[in-house]
Amino acid sequence: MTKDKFVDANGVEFNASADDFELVQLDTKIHDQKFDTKPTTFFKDALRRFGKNKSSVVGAIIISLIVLLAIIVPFASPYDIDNSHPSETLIIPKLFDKGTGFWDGTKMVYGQPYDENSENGINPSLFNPSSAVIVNDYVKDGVRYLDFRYDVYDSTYGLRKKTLYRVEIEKYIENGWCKIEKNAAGEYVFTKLSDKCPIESMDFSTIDDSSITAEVIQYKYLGYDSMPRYLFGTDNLGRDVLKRSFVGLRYSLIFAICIATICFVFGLVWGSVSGYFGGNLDLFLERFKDILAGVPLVVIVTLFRLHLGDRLWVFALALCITGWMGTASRARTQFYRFKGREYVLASRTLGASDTRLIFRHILPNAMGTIITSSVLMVPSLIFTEATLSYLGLGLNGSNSFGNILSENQAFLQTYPMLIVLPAIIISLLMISFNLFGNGLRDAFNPSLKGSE
Amino acid sequence: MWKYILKRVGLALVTTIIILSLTFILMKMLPFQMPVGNDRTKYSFFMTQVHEGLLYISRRELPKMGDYVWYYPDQRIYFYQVPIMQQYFSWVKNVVTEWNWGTSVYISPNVSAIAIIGERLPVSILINIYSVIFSVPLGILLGVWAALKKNKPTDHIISTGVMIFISIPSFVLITLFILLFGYTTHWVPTQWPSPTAPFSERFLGYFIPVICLSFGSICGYARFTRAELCEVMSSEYLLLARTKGLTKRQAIIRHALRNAMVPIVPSILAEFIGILGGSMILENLYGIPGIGSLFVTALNLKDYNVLLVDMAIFTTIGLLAGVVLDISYGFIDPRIRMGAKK
Repeated sequence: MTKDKFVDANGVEFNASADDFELVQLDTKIHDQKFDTKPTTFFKDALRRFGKNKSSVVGAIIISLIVLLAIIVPFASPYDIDNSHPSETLIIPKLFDKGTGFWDGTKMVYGQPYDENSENGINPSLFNPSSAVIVNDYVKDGVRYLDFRYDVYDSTYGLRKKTLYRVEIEKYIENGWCKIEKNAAGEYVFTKLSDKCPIESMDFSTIDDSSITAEVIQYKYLGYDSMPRYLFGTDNLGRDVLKRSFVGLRYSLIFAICIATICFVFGLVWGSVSGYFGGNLDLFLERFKDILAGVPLVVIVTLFRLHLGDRLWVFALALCITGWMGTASRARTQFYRFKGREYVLASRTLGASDTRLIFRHILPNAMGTIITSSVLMVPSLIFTEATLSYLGLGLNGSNSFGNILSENQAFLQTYPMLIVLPAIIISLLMISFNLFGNGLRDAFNPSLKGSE
Repeated sequence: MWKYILKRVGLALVTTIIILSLTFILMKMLPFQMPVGNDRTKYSFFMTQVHEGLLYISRRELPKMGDYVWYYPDQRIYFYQVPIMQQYFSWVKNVVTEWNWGTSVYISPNVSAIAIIGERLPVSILINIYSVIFSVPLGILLGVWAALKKNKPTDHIISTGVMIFISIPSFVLITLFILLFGYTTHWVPTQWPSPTAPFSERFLGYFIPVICLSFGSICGYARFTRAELCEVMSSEYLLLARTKGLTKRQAIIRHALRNAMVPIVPSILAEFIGILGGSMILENLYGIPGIGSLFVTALNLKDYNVLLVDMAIFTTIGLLAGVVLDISYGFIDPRIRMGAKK
């Protein structure tokens, strides 16, 4: 066998023939290599990409936190919000203990006339003088005035002189919390037996047939076990604003989710029919939708209220009638997009029925996009409900969030915290929903895949 | 193009007519609202209604017509309601021939509803014009700034701010502004100043309405401009512009900004019209005597004729904004043919 002359890459000459070579993979079978990585679904991939978006994750966490609070707080909070409490109205919010001056339940009072009859010049029938710190003491136009800061909680719930009635004292004695006896000298003696008894001491010189003046720990007198602490304060009827806010939020959330579900189902059916069958039917359904979309929501709510009255289901119906159109438009677009695809055509050629085409081939593909863009319906419904309630067009007399805000609106000047704190909650919820919604939309949008 | 415009306007017109007709019929199906005042003013109100063709007048009771609306003892006249469809055609005739939309019953009796609206409309329009003048340059500026500093701290701060202010409900924002600038610092009045107030106070009175209406639009424009400009900045023709020797400034102003403005300008036009409907909450909270607060007043006082005209305005504004948006797309960017075939 003759050997041919070759030159290798380095310029060195060598001789070789065909026999010098052998086939490496002569007896081995070559298969496609199996992927070591796990297969991923569209949903899993979307979830992974959603997780990469930090702000959306934070949004999701805040939403779940607020929703959790809306579930827990109404059960966990011991305060009663169904009845009014005339002696506990408009209490300042308190988070920190006394002394910081910020969110600690103390209140500044300016220009209070000096009361000559009391020890430190503060009228004991209006404020609890023991808790007040005098900031400024001045004379203007011959009248002496005081500026002072006092603890609203101590004033409302602390130790104060109070006229008690015979019936009340008899009740305490019956419960075995205290007793009143006459000693050898014929004087009355008050003995406290239980810690639950609100009375600290009694002034027996003021006794008459039906009442007596006594020093009373007010929170025990009002039926609390310990000094209450209202994070958001109380409203003009003495109800805890924190509990009311979260009860309202729960109400609004349930309401919004119910309406959103109804709107979603109806819109999906409408849009699918319109998109799948097309033609004149589509034209008719679209024109109908156009006309309905032209009526502003306020007009629809107004007409419904005037005709059917101021009821929950009327308001819900009005929101349903205007709410489904967004979903319907998206469903229609998706159906138009998929119904002309080759795989649908192939299935149709094989004799698949409309039902099969819709439910097996088109709807599963369209669903992701429709659902994610419909998620934002929930916050927008909460928003709409709150706005309309604020205008007095919504759920009047209910515990919804907008109602609570609009009731507290009257105290904007004097007790701004009553409206600021619930407003912060709803704003936080809206911001988080928007962040969450944007992240979800990006994650489920296949065209953005791999762009980040 | 003209065919498309005609078609679009015609469709909007038909929609408006259908909605207004339905609203009128639904409003007329409600129980009749008696006007306030003594018998004389009532009588003059009822006689106008008769002339407008909405009521029958009769010297004796007509049991066939159902219950009479009012009996005027002085002249011994019974007033009966005309069947609703007949009322509808009389109303259409009045609107078309005399531009007469009915008379107010409660807000200011015997004054035509159009006059009441005409009195209130200028305030609403003025506030909206000021807020658009204020918000458009600021919003676009913020958007451009954020886009040029993309993914830098400036961009993050602007985008976060936009996100936050877009999410906060408008009534919360208005309330907080009134609280902050009105009650706490006393810089601006806490209520819309009366027309007799001194000029400085009336001038300061515009502060909260304009700021509150602007905030939403500023955020909207900033977000929109940023998104559009970012997309343009990554396009090939901008690369070409830089390659052929333009400075960055030239390339951005001559090429990027102009193209990014294409979708923004129509939205400004549409917003200019559409924002009129959005000031209802503001007008109610700040006590502005515009058409938004009129709506709530008319609803609470059951002054249906005024309410009907107000609803008509809101409906027309909404539809008009949509039409303007669609048409202006075609004018500003000739490549876009809305509704074109294939």
